[in-house]
Amino acid sequence: MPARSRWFGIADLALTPTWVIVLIFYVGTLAWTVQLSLTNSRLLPTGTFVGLEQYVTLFSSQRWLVSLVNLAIFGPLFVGGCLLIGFLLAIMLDQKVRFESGFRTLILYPYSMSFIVTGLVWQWMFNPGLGIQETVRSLGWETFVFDWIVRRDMAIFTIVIAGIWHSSGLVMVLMLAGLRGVDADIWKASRIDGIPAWRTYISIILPQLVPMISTATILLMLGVIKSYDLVIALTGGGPGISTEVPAKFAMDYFFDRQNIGLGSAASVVMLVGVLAILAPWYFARSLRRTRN
Amino acid sequence: MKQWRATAAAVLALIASASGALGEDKVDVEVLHSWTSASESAAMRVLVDAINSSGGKWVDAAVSAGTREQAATNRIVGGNPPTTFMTSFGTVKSLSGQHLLRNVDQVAEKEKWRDVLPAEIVKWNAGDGHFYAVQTTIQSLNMMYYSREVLAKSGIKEIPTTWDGLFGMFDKVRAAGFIPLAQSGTPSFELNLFGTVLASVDGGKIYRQILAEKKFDAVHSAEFAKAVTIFRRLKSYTDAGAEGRNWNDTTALVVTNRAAMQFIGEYGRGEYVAAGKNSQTDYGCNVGLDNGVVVLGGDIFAFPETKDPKAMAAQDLVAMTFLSKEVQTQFAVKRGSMPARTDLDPSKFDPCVQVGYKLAKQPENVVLSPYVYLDPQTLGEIRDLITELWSNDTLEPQDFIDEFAAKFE
Repeated sequence: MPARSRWFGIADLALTPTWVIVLIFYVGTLAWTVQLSLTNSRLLPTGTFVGLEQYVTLFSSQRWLVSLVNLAIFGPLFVGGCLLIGFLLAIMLDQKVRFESGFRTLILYPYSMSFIVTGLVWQWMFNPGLGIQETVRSLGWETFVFDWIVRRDMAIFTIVIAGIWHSSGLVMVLMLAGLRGVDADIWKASRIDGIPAWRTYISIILPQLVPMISTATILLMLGVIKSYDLVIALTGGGPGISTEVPAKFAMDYFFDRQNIGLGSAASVVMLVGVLAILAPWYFARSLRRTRN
Repeated sequence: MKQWRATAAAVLALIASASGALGEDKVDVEVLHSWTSASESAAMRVLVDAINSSGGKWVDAAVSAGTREQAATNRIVGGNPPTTFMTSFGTVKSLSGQHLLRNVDQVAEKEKWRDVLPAEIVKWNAGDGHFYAVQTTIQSLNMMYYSREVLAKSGIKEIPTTWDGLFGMFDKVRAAGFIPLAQSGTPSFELNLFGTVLASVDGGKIYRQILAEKKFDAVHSAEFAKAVTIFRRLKSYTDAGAEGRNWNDTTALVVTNRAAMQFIGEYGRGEYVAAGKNSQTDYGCNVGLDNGVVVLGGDIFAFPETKDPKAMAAQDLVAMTFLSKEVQTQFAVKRGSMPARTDLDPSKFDPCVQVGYKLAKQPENVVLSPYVYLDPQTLGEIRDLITELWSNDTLEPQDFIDEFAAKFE
């Protein structure tokens, strides 16, 4: 025991700079943002305390409410879509197909592009005058319509599609690694028992992939919260304000509209949102651990 | 390899500038700006040369337009301000209110800024009696550029001077197989179009009342409602690809004779010039619908507060140089837009520039851009409303008008 505590002390010392950085740059800026959100700061931070006024303004803003609804549509569809398609792609590649490494690279490739590039490419694809609609029409189907990007009620789904195209490859790679880790004896056993392959995947393999799935989910959810560049490049928040998202709201008020107070309030609400999602998850996980 | 070269070049430049500074006694003039496009930086050479040849040494600090105010403010608050920075009237107002800017009234007095700048600009630039910024460029933001070829092929001889007439013309253009109105479906260009329409309905009166004089009851007037109706109707003459398209792709539709016309700021003309088009034979222009009212915007450079005599000298040099007659003439010719001074000989300018320049001299024909009249926050929220009006066909005009009025309460 005494030997261990000596080592503990040195490790502590070595970690001190890290702790200082964490406290100043993460916790400190966080506290400062919360403090700013309680002031009437515009272009410059001021110390004038206005209570929760910025939050009242925030939640009476039509644009903020639209942003929240969009996040609620985009988030689950994007995360769910990526997981589903990524899992199916992984199973496909797990069938010992030829040129597997070629496919793997191809499917992972979109992930190596930034959201800005993804957004620009898909903006052309969705553009009714240039992209998919025009191509299909020129092939002879004159009445074909695919104009989601210019329709207020459908534009948010173009962002979902582009997002899934971008991030499914990542899920596939994670899942594939998981599938390769599955013991070959399990497959032999299930074959002897005459269980169909799809059933094996769902009831036996999938539960073993839970760590992979939760890693992928966390990565994707972070992408949802900070979804900004994809929207900027793909729709710019339009048509009208129909594809606005919270991160864009915060950026616009911080910089373009010179209202640091309201921008901070939006950031704080986003942070609370993240915590509201992550806290139950951590709680459930630690509960499982204590049970085990 | 590339990176290495860039580093080497930077080091060499540093050594060269250091030895230069030892050799002669020139004042450093650091200019923070966002003139980054090709035509802008070409025109900026005029300013650089003028500063360098009159005892200063231009130190360039280019930033992107979106982060410009923040970059300047951070440097001012951090105690390391540039000599001058490109900005907006809204920022000048809030920074000067906190005593972070220095006025250049002495230079303004000597150079008679009050007499040579358009009256409406003086009123806003020196609202509280002090000049905290030098007006460097002026642009007409409500230009109409049209394709002569498209109009000829659609059987149109003359541009009508009423909106109803214009809609009739648009019908003919459409029947001939062209896009009547090229529009960039992005919030800032929808706002610009709305301003163009609002300035046209009654000779600029309602525009001035609402935005400049802040008489917000005028929002409920018949003229404002008329502007809303016209703006809405204009949308039906745009093409399906307008949504989200940026302005230069949109201008290209008129340049390549696929669309009849576009309402856009004077910078749009740069695309015609770059394509080698002539304003008398290929394209034509109006200020607004009928050469009635010009909506002016432009670039200003403000001066951070300082007590250092050297920095003050540098600031005075900028104020003096940027608005001098020679610089203004050369700059306007290079950039192809209006000069900020009203007392220059316009014969060297393109005919398309001369129309607006003539209007800019008469105060009753001048209104300024919403970016001048409104603070950034109100402006942003108005922009949200206007883009909704443009894109949401189910939004009732009356609801729009009520929400618009509510933004000012």
